[in-house]
Amino acid sequence: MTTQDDALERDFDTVMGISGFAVPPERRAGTLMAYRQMRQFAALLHGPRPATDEPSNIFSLEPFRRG
Amino acid sequence: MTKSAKPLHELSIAEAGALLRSGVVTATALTEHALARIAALDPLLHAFVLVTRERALADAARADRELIAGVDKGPLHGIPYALKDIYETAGIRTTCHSKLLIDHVPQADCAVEEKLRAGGAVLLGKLATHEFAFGGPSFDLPFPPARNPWHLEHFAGGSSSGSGAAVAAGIVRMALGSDTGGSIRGPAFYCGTVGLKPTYGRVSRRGIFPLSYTLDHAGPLAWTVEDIGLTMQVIAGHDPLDRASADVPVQDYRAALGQDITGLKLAYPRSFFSGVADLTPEVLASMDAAVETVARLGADIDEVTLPDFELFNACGRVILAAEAHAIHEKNLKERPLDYAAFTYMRLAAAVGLTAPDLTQAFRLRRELTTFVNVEIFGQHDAIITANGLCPAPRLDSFPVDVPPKQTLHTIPFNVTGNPALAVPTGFSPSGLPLGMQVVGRAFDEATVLRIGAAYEAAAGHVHKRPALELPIAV
Repeated sequence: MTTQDDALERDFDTVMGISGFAVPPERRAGTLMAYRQMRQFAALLHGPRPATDEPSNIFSLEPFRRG
Repeated sequence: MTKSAKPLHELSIAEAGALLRSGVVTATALTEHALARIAALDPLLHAFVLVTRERALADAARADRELIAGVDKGPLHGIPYALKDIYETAGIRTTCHSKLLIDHVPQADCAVEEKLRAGGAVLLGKLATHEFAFGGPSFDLPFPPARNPWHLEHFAGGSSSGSGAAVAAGIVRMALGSDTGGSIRGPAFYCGTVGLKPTYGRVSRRGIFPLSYTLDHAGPLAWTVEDIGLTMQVIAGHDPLDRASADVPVQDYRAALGQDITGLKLAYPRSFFSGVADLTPEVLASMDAAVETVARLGADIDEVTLPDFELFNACGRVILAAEAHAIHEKNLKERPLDYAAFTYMRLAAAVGLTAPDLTQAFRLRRELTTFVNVEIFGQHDAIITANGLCPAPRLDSFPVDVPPKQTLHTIPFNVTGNPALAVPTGFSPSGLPLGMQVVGRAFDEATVLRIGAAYEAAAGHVHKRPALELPIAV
């Protein structure tokens, strides 16, 4: 196991604890693996983005216009 | 009354509808035949988690009386179908294939079921899914996973596993599924059926148990493209009670089906999938052959480059995980062992995502969606691209203690919301189905179906069915 793996595992235990999750022991390895994959996905998202990439598509003004 | 030249289960919705209206077959005969096939085949397939036999026979008898009286409720009148078990049905147990909802009996129908009932269709039962349309294939749930009718030891896809298996086995002509990252198109690919993920907002999700609010789509799987069009004609449309439903006119899907595709400009992003490690040579060869067929039919093919698949995938997976976690957070903490292991692992892992992660995912989503809609659909009528990267794996090839890897190329169009049709393109040397996606402009399902139908007719794969036959009494 690398230092990076150790750090990720410590991070996993801390985040799960703070969030109130008691991961069943028999599911820990699989959850940790899914957690590692989720962090890898997230790392791909943090590239430079233009200001036009504002995520305003999650809101709609349509109901207010109609009202 | 049964005088059809074809076995009843091989009649398409269009063919059965014509015979129902001419009095050659009855809805009762279609329903009894389907129930007999469930009795014979489902012990092998595990496609159904609940069969609504008595209600189906009563609804079929009602449809027969109405049709005799000249009451025609549309193209699905008298046609048996089934629903993925995340579609809520009034008075009928809806479990999401989970121990957590094993006794859940909804008070009301979901919007799609309301439309199907109003259209006189006949509900046969509820279909297997991956738990909460996530996780799986899992063997630690109240019901076993569905099996692939082309080879029972193989995966039927997911999460609309039962929908794919039931259509491919000729139990139903059409079944409803849901697609958040590929859960209609994956089972369609693995089981050799057609499947449509409509445009985001085209079909109401009201009353369908959510997995991810901004990625969930409801849609049909069927044996033919025409049957997808007929189903969409009934279930598409605005629903003011679904916050994501779009108030956009519904196209005439059937009218689009007979048109040739000469002169349509199609984008083929071959590099999007051709260099991926999991891609098998048979899938690549099948894609190239399908594109050649479409070109012979008169379409102009233009090889294009899309942003890296891994960007679409990361964007979609982060949004999906965050939204799904938000829905399940309380039960994950309080009843962790009531979830299947894979479901729990995937849902719980999202606790490691941060607010900036999700914001960046939405920003990237805007960028990717704009690229597809402006750069690709600004110049092309549709995209043809890969669906699954390899034929259906064996069920015993999945790991038991860690979540299985995804080998579908479907999530990009959940991220962008464009309509995407899964169409079979033939078979691997081992006899397992292969397929492609036809992706269209937002709310232009008609063009997608037009291309799919033209290809289907030219390729002829629709005539080959799984060799699953058992003695059927009807």
